[in-house]
Amino acid sequence: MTARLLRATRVWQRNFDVFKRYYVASIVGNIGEPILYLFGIGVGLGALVKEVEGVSYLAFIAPGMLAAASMNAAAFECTFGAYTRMAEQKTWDGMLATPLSLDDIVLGEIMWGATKGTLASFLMLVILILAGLFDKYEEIPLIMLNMFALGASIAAIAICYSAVSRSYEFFNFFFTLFLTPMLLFTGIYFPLDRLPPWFSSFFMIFPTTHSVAINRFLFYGGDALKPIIGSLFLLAFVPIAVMIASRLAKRRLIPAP
Amino acid sequence: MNVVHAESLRRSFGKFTAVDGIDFSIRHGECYGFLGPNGAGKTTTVMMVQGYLPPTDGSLSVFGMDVRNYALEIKAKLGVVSQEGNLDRDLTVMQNLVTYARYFNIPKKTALSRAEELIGFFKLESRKYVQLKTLSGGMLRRLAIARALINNPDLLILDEPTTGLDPQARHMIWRRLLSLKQQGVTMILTTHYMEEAERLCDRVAIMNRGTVLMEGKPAELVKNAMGEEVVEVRVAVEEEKNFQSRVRSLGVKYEQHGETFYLYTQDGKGLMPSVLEMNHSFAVHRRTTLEDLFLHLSGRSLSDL
Repeated sequence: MTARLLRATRVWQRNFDVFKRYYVASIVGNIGEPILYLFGIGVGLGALVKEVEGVSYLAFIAPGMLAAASMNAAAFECTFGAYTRMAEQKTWDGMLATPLSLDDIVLGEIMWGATKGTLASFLMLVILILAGLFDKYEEIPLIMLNMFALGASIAAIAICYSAVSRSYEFFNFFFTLFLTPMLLFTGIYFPLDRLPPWFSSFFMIFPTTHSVAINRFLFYGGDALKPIIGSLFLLAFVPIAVMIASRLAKRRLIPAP
Repeated sequence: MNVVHAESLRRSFGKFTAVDGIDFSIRHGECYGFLGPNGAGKTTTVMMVQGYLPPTDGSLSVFGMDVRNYALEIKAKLGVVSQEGNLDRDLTVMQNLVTYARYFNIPKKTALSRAEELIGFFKLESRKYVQLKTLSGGMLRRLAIARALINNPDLLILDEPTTGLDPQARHMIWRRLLSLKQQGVTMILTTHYMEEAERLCDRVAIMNRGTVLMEGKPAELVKNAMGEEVVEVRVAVEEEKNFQSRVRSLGVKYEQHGETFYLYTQDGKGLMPSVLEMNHSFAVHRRTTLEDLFLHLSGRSLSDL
């Protein structure tokens, strides 16, 4: 296991080296949109909405915006980024000629996607602090852990999707049919009890719903049941999603004998 | 001990059998070539040796280890130059080498000195810190070979190392490979350039449709199948028929590929005068080469040349 983690870290390091060259563009791309939504919707729409669950609308959506930032960054990295390395540039093929296995590469890519997600949500958190929307500094480690788990979940799902995609065009489906609904119906912009129960319980299968609930608990406290269930969900979800991503990548790159 | 040993090795993709039960052994320090037309099964074979594709059937061991169970251990001691360039386009020349070394878990200090050494050996000093898009085809290929050597491999696998290069770049790579060979590096090479195989390989296997047609030292294979000398004559299209009947009357064994005639004989010198008398556009007396053997086989059994 340690050996495997070390090998996966080699892939992570490679992506980090490349990231160091383009980090400004990369960061702007990842958190620019969530920041615009935070203030555009939070301030604009917030003027029309008095309070949600006892806080201002802007404060209500703040914890969810961290999740949105992590999700966005991880999703982009493990679709366009990982797909390019896997299918277009054949970077993975080059790695496969070394003591790295495809499992190591997939794990390394997911770790990297999760790292970018965590970084994006951290920068988002800095903005929340500057805007006076957050001051519970002691909760930062747990929030970041939660954002890493969310990033890893989304990264793994994105790798699964990349492994079955035939071209960049296929990512339109991913973003329209998967990522956008996750932004809208996982409790980021409004409490889920506004939705018909069958609809909101369907979105319980998505990691974002749980991560948003955990963040909101860490921000404002409240009932601990949801965040506990959420943590257990993420703990189970990440390894299973990583395993499926590995399986699908193998099916694509290494035809069965 | 054999570096690679394969018995009844088979690999299929669905219903298509790419490699159909081949046997071969590669000895320490030799350069072994797989020759054959596209689709012969050369690349599939080396991809199995490098632990990328698991075999469908048969046995295959590298450094005495079964490729099915020890892929990572085997890969740690291999260098691979794949046919489709998979250099890391997001990194510079130097970064390509150092990053690759990291995949092998080579300490940074060792990696840096090894990278410097290889950059010198492959004459890439002036391009050390540039992005790959500014490199020529020949430089990219040299970098790919340099990268494959970063871990001081016990076996170097080269899948068509000079395909698509101009003659000068190709000669440059041949010189580097020959010097590696002198240093005792065991090599596997796939190619469809007969000249490349003749210059570099100690032994070759000629493949077609997933099987090995013949195996041995290039010079011996050629000599046994084609004799030692050949007179090659090119004639005008309208002269073909006429020339054919004249050659027949000489009673020598010949082959015709397009408008070129290959006259196989023990005594080329003796034959030349009578050939020169005939109407021709080009005639040369030379030693037989692998290319002749290849053309000979292509007339009979090699597919889609």
